[in-house]
Amino acid sequence: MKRSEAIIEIVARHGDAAIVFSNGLTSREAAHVADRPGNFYLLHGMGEALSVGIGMAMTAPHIPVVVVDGDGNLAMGMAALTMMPVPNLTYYVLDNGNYETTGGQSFPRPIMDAPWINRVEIEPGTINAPLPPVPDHIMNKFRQWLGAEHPNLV
Amino acid sequence: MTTLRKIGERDYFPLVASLEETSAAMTGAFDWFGAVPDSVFKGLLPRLPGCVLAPRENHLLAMAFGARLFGAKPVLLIQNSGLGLLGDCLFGLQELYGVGTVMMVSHRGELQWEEPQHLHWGEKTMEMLHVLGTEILDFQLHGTAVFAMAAEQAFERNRIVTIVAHRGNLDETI
Repeated sequence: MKRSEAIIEIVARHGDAAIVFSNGLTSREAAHVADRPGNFYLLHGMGEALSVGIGMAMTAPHIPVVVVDGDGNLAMGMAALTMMPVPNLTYYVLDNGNYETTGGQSFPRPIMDAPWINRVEIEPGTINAPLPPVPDHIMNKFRQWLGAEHPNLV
Repeated sequence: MTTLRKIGERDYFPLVASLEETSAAMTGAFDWFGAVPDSVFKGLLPRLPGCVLAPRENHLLAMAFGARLFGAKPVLLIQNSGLGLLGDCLFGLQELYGVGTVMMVSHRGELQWEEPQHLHWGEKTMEMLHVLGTEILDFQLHGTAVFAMAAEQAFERNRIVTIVAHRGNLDETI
């Protein structure tokens, strides 16, 4: 399965969730193939997607939160794994065995395993999606979604 | 010139407020509390409702970013050494997306009796905060009113604000 195909499936499975995508190719491809207002694309913050999702999920336990991470990002943010599981947070790791955004450097395998890590094996490679939107656009769109779906949080 | 106070053989900066007064002012200004464990804050942390303890300052900052996206008003309590870990996260999340937050930083290493591992941070903390570009407020100077001031800057004007707490400003004996 390609990264883009995995992302499309995950987004379709969690239509009512706030979905955080890690920086790099994960955010880039998600913005290109599966954009929706409840998506939040990290442009930087390496290794922090899970922590952002944890902060969201703890703040609003009634809202489903999804984090889509890469295996490299999981490694960079490993200390945050000690905060898991969080009941309303679903965590996916797209696992292709390398740091693809930075040139395909190999990643030690296997990746860490836990019952709450939903590992999705993907093929190396990219669809060469364009750059994701700029920060203001990402924020505004997400806030509009939040205002429409959860106005008590705005 | 600040007059130091003695506790045993050691000098400390002045006590600003009791832990009860401090936590009351904080809960009036913020509704999301997070910390990386630091003994300077050990008496304060149990008084902050639902305080999230994170293993690293960068992760705590990212959690506060997520909390703020969902409307919370976060304050983070960290040791000055944690500034060395959180810079990239601060630039890549709060700064990049224009999301305000408040950090209360224990300024270790200012006093000569402190342990050697803190002394370099004692010299570099203010310089580091200037490099990070945060607004800087001083707990000792402003008292408990500093929390409402910081919250206004962070959540009305989307600024990143640091409240500096000096050793002795909080009761560490509990």
